[in-house]
Amino acid sequence: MKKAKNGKVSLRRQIKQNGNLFLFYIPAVVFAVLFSYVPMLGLVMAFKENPNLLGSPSAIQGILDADWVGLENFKKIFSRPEFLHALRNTHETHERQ
Amino acid sequence: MKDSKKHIRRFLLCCLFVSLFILFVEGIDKRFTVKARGGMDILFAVLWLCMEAEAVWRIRRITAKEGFAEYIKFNKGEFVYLLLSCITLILSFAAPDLAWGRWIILLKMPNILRRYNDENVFQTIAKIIAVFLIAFFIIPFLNVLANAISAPGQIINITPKKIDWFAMHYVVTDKAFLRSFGISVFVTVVGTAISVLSMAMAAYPLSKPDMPLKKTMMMFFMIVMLFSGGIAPNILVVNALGLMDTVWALIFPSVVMVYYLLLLKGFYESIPLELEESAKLDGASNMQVLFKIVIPMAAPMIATVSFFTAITYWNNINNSILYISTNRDIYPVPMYIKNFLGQNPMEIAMNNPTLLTYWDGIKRSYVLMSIVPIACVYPLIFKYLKNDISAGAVKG
Repeated sequence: MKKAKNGKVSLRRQIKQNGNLFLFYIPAVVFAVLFSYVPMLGLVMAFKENPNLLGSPSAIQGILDADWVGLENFKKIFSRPEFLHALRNTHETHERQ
Repeated sequence: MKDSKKHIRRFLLCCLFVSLFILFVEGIDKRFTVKARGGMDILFAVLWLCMEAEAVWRIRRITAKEGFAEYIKFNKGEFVYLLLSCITLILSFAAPDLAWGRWIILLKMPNILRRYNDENVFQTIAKIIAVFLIAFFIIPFLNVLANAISAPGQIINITPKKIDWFAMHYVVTDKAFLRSFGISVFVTVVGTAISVLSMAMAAYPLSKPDMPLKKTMMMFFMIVMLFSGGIAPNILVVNALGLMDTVWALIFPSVVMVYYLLLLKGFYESIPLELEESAKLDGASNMQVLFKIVIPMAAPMIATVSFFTAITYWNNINNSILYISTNRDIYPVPMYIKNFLGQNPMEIAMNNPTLLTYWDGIKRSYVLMSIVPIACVYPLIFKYLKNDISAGAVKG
């Protein structure tokens, strides 16, 4: 077997040998991309204003059209008094008794 | 000599467990009469005096032989117990509020148990704990069963009284329920097939030692396991794909379960590489190697993973809550039960008064019916579950 300088089998050689195996990834990767990675794009909602769902042709279009507000939404959450309570309750459930 | 020692040990163990039991019972049940409480206190004191006498005897024996320092070195807990116990025993008689002080008996426990330095004690304790755990799970189940098959209007613990099959009969002949049962079976079977097939295929290249970009792919799947887009984007995606209100919305979103993928990968790694290589020499393609050699070798793990995947699909209510809004015909069993329990009892009383009489029994019958398929599959798969659940974990 031909070896690269650092003693490992070179990447091109590896791909040549095991390249067909990439086909086995396809079903799992398709499902993972469709139902986990594409929804993760929806996290842009965190940095946008509330979308005007009724005034736009579709929900996705409404989200895309909403204005960017930066970290405004995070500021709102962290400044609520309930947030600290919730955090504390998650941390240790019997804190408040 | 040896025999008498054995008897003393056993007696001490009995003392310990009986007094712990008394403490436990007194602790959880406050309704004892004064007389019963007094009796238990006296029994407790007697047991305790026995143990103290033994402790004093031990002190004398060891001190005479090796000196007091040697005794203290190994028996601090027992000594503290000896000092404190006189006080707490008197206190518990004088002031019942301070009876919790008797829990210092736990200090004596290691001393007694240490003398049983053999496997049997461990086995016995493990069995006792196991019996408690089993009871913990089986009693609620028996309660559900008893409620489902007995006549209404009685107080039922775990044994059915006045057996009445009306509720069961109603559930078994409920057409809508049977259809949701069929939907659930379809979702479970098809979902498990797709899920296990795609995971078994994806785990194979991940298990190869010299596969290029292996770390990247691992990272790809780990991200799926750790992060998610949240509820709203998921609904938008399912809607955009046109899966809303179809059976496929119950199947596709939870196909890739990365934890089971890792289990499979670990098991594949324990299969000797030589087998695959010799198959390759004989001219087998990758597909043939995977399906003719690797997957049959990994059958136990495949069976385990299929079982868990099937349970996940069967119990999954999230997908039906999120992705099915109007189409009631394809409610799976958990969603159907939730929907049924959410009905207003008064409305049912207007339509069908007998139903309201049997309301509790019918609820329990639905729950019971939803257990049946998993309970049927479990014995078939049990022989695999027994050994191989951790077999692939060693290689990780």
